[in-house]
Amino acid sequence: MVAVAAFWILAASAVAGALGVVVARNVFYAAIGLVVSLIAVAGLYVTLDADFLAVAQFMIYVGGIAILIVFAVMMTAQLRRGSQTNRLWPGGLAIAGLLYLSLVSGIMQTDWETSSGAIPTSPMVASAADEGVRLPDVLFSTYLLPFELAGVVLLVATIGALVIARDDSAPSL
Amino acid sequence: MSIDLEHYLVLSATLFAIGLFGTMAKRNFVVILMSIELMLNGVNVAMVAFSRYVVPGEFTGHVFAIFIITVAAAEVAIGLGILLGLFNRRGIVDASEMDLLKW
Repeated sequence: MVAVAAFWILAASAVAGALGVVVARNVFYAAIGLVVSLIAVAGLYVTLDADFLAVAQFMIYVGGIAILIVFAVMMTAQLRRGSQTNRLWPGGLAIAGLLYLSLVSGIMQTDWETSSGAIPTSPMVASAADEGVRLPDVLFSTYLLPFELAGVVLLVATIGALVIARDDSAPSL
Repeated sequence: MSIDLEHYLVLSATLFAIGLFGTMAKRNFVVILMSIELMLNGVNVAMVAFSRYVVPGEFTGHVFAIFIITVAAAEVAIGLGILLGLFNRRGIVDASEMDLLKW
């Protein structure tokens, strides 16, 4: 019962925050809507027994990306023009609406083969008697190469962002 | 009544569609980036829900979600770098005014 209530509250917050992002005229309010939506999704991960992902979502998205976006909003400081829609927004609304309707009808018509197997208590903390796999077991064996590549992606993105955003008038190193 | 896989999938589709609309219809570059984050979050919800309901205990969807979060962080860093570079050089944050590569 608590889980059901938690799901509906969190889902409503996530959708409300997402709507705030696209509806708000003020860019700063849109950023606040994004933060609300991201926190609600972190809560949804808890309801899905994904504790590690919930913490990662909170730290990376809410603590990192959202703060970065708020900084960008303040540095570019065109708040008076606000968040306008472009000329083609009715077309965008139609495409997004059609995609949404087709996705929902597909979800509803599919007979999902859900498993009723045992749910692990937590992916990170396994008791001594627990013989099942844990998240690190999967991440550092089967997916070791993608894990290393993700590190390379982050390094390249960091250097690239520094090079692109550098001010030309600043004294060079 | 209980919460099933369909609930999470419909929520995921809702977030994705809202983000898609924002990506296509907004002019402000920062808001477009936020909408892309919304779309990635919707996909993540679907990944974790599949992992929880279809193959519980295997964490395949969790691994995908971790990689999506990583790529999203890299994408935001690059996107905001482009935004700051454009704003410093040409003073624009409007995506419809970014025409350096337009013909």
